[in-house]
Amino acid sequence: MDPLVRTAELTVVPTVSPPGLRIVGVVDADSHRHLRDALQSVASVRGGLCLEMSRVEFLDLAGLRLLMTFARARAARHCTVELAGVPPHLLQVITLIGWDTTPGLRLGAAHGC
Amino acid sequence: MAADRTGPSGFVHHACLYGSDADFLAMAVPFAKDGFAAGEPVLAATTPANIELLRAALGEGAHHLDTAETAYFGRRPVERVSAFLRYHGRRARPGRRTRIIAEPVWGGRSARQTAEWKRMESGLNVLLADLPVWMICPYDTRVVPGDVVEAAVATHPARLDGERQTPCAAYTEPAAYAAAVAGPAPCAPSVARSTGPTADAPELRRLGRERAAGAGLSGERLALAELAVHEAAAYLLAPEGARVTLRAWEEPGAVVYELRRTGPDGAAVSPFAGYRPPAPSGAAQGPEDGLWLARSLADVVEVRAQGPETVLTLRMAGPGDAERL
Repeated sequence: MDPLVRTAELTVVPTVSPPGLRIVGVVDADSHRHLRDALQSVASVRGGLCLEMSRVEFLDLAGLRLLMTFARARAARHCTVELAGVPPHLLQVITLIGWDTTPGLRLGAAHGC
Repeated sequence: MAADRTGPSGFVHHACLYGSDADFLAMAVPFAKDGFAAGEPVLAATTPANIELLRAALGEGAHHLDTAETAYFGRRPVERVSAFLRYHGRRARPGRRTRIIAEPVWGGRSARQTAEWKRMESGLNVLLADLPVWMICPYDTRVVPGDVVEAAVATHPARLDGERQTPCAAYTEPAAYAAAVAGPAPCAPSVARSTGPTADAPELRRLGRERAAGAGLSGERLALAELAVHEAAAYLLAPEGARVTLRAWEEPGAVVYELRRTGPDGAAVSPFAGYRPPAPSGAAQGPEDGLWLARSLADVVEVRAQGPETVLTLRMAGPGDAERL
């Protein structure tokens, strides 16, 4: 499937089974906009959605907040988003901030959806 | 007590220098009982020995007392501020004040830690200014060093002896106090690696990661060091026209990063920036969220103004830190 985002630093590819996105590379101030657009493109998918993150090389705090905001928006429509393959240090950060209880968010399996 | 008449609107911050169990109870018992009578939440974050004393003195009333062993109620200043805010957030009652007895641990601290706790005591006057919280910080003069006693009366606008309130003549405006207690910035050794000045956060975090890896950090700890440097750099680079020079070196037990910002004019950083935790995930990103994360991941972050420059020193625990093995 064609990537939704392909820059030097970040690639985002839609996935079908399960429905969602695979995020690869670096998310920082240069790519927040791309990530936001990619999330928007799957926002209308009903039920569970999976973001596969095992090949995320760097994700800053603002990028993490984008994912949390996305989860909350899904919760408001009785849908969820699973973050799969989240690098362990990011799981630690999510818990440190207390975002692990974000409505609509599922912290999933260590390796892929 | 006089402070009762100030109403529940803003932060009231008192020191209590006590030299005996009786002195401690002369302050703590009426403070707690008045709180219970007014339907206000009361927390005693103090030593286990003082908690035991206070419970015994309060009798049945002790059932209303919230307690925390102070050493674990926010181990570092950034966590301490979060602990206070969390307690207030969970326990506050509409129209009522929250009462907190907050006795920091001073024994056995390094000079750097002691300075940071003194700075935080002063910073609470700014950080909690809008909250309806009455906080009394007991200092046990039998065990705390003289410089800490001096700090107590410089960082609290007033002191309590039993129920008698006296203004602290030595009280110092928090920003001035923080600057005075900061001491000189550490000097980067000649072997330090450096990059910048630049507005390119990725360039800064790459050096941050490289130095952390060179110091022996790996896996999660390496990724967290990179993230801490990135968030500190991004915070400093937020004003238009800012440039940052990063120097990085190793010391026994730590990887040290010095981020020196030049320009833009008038973009001073508060020494108390980044002590408040980020808002819940539904809210917008706060301007100090990244600095909060850097403070939370580092052993210590110090912010100093040096003329027109801002110097932020970030120390990450080195690979020999056995707590993180």
